[in-house]
Amino acid sequence: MDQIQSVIDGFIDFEGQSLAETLTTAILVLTGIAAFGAGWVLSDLKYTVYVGLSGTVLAFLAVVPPWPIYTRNPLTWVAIAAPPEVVMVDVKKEM
Amino acid sequence: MYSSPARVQNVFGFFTTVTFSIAALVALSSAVFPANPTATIDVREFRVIKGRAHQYYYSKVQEYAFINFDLEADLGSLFNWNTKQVFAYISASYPGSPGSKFSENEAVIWDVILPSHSASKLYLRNERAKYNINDVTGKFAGENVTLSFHWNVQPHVGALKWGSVGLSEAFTLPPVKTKRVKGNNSA
Repeated sequence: MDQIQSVIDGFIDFEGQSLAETLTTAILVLTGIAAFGAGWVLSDLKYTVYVGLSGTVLAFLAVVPPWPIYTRNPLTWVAIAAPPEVVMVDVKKEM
Repeated sequence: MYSSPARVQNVFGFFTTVTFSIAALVALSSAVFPANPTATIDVREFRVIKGRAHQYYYSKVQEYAFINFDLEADLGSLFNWNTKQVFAYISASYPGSPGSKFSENEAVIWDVILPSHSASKLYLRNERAKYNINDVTGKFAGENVTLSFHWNVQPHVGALKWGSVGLSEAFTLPPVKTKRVKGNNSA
């Protein structure tokens, strides 16, 4: 169960998130330009659709799974400190 | 971008932005291609016949105009990467009899759908009109009719484009049940 949850979550670290963001923008913008260019040069709008959808599939495959490249900078948390000693004091009501 | 579902949402969201931007560019690109189709129409034969519409609920006898024409048209310049198909049609227009409240009349007598560039040249000889028109008043004879050729580009993305080119000589519809050939029209 935990394993399934972990696959669905696919958590990545902060550096990985920054990289994923950049890759999403770059791949999709380049795909759009290539799609327009392909349709224009071949003079048929179907090539625009094909190139555009292929590039989008590529973007999904590159960004969505938690590839190792996105988990290279794991956060190291400060270890949990030992609980401080607590002295219990009885407080008596003074009349 | 921390979890996979968040990344799916991000990629899909930006995908829609890119898609609509490209679609807008494609729609705008249609303006780059010049649209200069050519067409010439010659009227071959025309006659007026009294008849009833082929409709069981409407039995009024009225005058129908039958028109045959020649057409030569080249619509190749309307086909570019953003053209889905071209709809072309010929309409007959006439001013209406003097004193009539219907002063401008236009009716489509023939049309065609051109699905690709290879079908963009039209060459018709003595083609019979697809649609036999009748007037709203029921009377036709004596009307001074002109045929004109119209085109309508239906793009994949963007706005429809309309245009008109090619005007025939005006001809006068003869009285009922007589047949006249072009050049033999005394009116």
